[in-house]
Amino acid sequence: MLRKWVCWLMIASVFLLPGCWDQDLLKDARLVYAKGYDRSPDGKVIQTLVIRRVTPGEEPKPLNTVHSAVGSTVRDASESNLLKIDNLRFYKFQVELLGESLAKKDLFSYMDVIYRDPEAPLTAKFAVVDGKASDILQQKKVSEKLIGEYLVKLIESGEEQSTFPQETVQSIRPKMLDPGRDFVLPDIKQKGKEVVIKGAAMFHGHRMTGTLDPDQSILFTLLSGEPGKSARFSKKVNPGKVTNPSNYITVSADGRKVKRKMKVNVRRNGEVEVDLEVNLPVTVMEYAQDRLDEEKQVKRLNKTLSKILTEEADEVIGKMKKARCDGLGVGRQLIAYHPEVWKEKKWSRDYPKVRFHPKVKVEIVGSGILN
Amino acid sequence: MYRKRKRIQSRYGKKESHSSKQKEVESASSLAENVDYIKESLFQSADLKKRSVHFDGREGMLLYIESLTDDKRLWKEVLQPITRHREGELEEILPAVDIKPERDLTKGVDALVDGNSLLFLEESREFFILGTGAAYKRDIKEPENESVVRGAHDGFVEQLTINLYSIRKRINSPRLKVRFFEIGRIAKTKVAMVYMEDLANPDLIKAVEERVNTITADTLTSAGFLQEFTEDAPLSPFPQHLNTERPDRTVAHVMEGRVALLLEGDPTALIAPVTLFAFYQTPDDYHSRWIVGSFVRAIRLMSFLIAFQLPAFYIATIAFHAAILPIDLIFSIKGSLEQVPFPPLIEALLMELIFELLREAGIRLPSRVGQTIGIVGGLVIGDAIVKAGLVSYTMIIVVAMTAIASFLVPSNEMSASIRILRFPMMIAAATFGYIGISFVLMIIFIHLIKIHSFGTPYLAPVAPLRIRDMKDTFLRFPIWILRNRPHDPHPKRMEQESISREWNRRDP
Repeated sequence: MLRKWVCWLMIASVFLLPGCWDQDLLKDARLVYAKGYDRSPDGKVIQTLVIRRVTPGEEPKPLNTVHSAVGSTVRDASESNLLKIDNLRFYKFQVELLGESLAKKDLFSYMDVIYRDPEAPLTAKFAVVDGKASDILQQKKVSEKLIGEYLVKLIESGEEQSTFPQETVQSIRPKMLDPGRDFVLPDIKQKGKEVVIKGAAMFHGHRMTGTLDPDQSILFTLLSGEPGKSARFSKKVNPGKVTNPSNYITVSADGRKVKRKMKVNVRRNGEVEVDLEVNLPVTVMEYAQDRLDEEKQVKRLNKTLSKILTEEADEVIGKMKKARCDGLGVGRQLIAYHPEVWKEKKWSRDYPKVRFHPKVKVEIVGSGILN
Repeated sequence: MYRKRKRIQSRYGKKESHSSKQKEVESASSLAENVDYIKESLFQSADLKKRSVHFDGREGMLLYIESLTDDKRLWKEVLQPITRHREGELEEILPAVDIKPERDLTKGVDALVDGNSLLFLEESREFFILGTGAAYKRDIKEPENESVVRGAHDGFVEQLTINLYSIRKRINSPRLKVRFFEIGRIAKTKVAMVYMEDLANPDLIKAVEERVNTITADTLTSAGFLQEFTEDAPLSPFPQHLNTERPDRTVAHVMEGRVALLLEGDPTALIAPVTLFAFYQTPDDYHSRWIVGSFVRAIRLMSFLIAFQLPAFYIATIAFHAAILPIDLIFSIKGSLEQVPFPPLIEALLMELIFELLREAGIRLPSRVGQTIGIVGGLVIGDAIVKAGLVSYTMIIVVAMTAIASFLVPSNEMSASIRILRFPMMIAAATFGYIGISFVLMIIFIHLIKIHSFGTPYLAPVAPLRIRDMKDTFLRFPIWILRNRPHDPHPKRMEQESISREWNRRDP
């Protein structure tokens, strides 16, 4: 009788116990909200983790704790952080900051661990920090907001206004491995007690090779055909004093209505030419001189704005060439449509030789009340 | 199962099981002898009363069981006429009562127990059974656990004849057939089987008849006994008869070609065969307009899923797959979990246990004290248990949701089954997460597909799939679209409606 019971008990435990091994209680998890990586002068990785805690009780209050650790690899640094914090869980981190010192080295080797973890969130954002990532994270709070949330909101609003390209853990991986395509990440920096948008960081291969100003990065997202919800510019369109606001016009383009055409042509001598055309239907947000009911006035503004933006687009492309960042994916088009040309190219050398013909066509479609 | 029943039958022997085949006992001509025999047969029971009468110049004795006999009727309709007339033909003197001459004393005893009185006369081998039984009737009230907003508000009572009246009143048709069975070796219970002769499938009738006839229990105290003796899969957690106390619901099912079993002394009709979806239909669906009816039924079917899966999903999520929670939600759940000292399964079981305790206590307590349970349960335990940090707020929400969802089921039996089913679900969720849940769900659905109720697949019309019957499954289509009866009881005639809205088509 006893043997029978023992037998049953063993069978039951075979069914019930193995699952418990995989249990991962939310209650005990220390959830990382944001993390940052820096490179120490001696080549080690400094990992800074922002852990979000909630005070128990009827009205839970969020709290942040920040921890740092050093290691020779990312995982190594995590292990030393684990010594301080038990049950560290990365499955809900929202943003990862990369110190410039580290971004300029081989980024891929720092990201390897994310792509190995099946629980890693695919929608987490990246940002490059001009300076040290740990300095920003150590602040814990920026203007009453917890640092993790603040950074997410900052990047999201940057994406919405087309200042930042929309990149996530999931979207940069193929670009990283694609020889015909590079990626651009948001660039932020600390300014006093605030964290501000600095523009965009251009990458070539796995390394950061240059930066764009905020205005330029808006143009970049337009040229790449992936703008956010809206794209806004303020340009001086009238001659006169720089200090007079009525000489400026502020326009905003609806991201969904922006049309971009990119055509990659290969000349007979193997030269690559890219026709880039962006149609920008814009709404006037602010223009003190008004008179926008006159067709002539509107036409003039259209022309002036198109000219200014086309020139600026040229500048952006110049900067990209200098950084050898093929953010528009010209190489990918070559691989797809002209593989024999691609085979002869050494892209990091030949990319700057590509001739771009950017053309931005601005058309004012809304001139009255804002919606 | 079937084989087992046969074995039991042979063990007791057929003769004993049917007491109608008892030996006859011829009555004696001596009055005292007969009276003594009756007295002995009832083991000198104290409520057996006797009263001597004079009739036709002979000594006589009236025997009756006090508790079963209507005193007033006995006095007015039997004793008064006899004492007044003193002689003549009994049937002429007593026009108001049933009179049956009898010679077999065992039948006399049976009649006595049934509420009749016996009149013995000196020097006569014949005695008379007088129908003076008392009938204490309960009002025909709406059953409390099956009340509806609109529609008929009557229900079954404990008397079989009244219940049959309720059914016959609704089905004015000579095709409605009632058959009686007397079940029970010691105490006999009358069981009525009601069906439509031209609709119910003969195989079904045969099966019901066979299963009812093979019952060899000493007594049937409730419909639950009948249910357990006749169902196809007695080990299944799912009920395979529909229990209802509503005549209109019974009639609707009988009109679809099903069989209803009614029991003397129980206000429940057992309807067979049924499918899972029958438990989620209510008369209310058909009383209200079809859009409303469909919406309510869809909600009810959703509650079927919530009632046994929600706690399991919650446990699996917070114990294994917290990563799927949105970022804003994860911290509010985590905040409420932070203080809880138990693993999620224990936490859930504790809450479920408290809930079941409160539910059971609520049924047993008299209604005046019942309110206290609401206060103690809802306010004190619900609030204090969180403040004490034993259970998290989210768990209380989950358990409350589950409880409400389980009470949405119109059938009490199904509601209870589902409440039971969530425990294995919870254990599987706590040991294997979502994989465990999917395995238990698989087992449950395999079981649902496998079992039958009197030859009808339990999950019809989903498995076997019959799209035409879906009209009255997940949604309730307009009645003029429900041209045919559901296929699952295999009725003899399928069409139940043909051209009721012809007037609409005729007009140009």
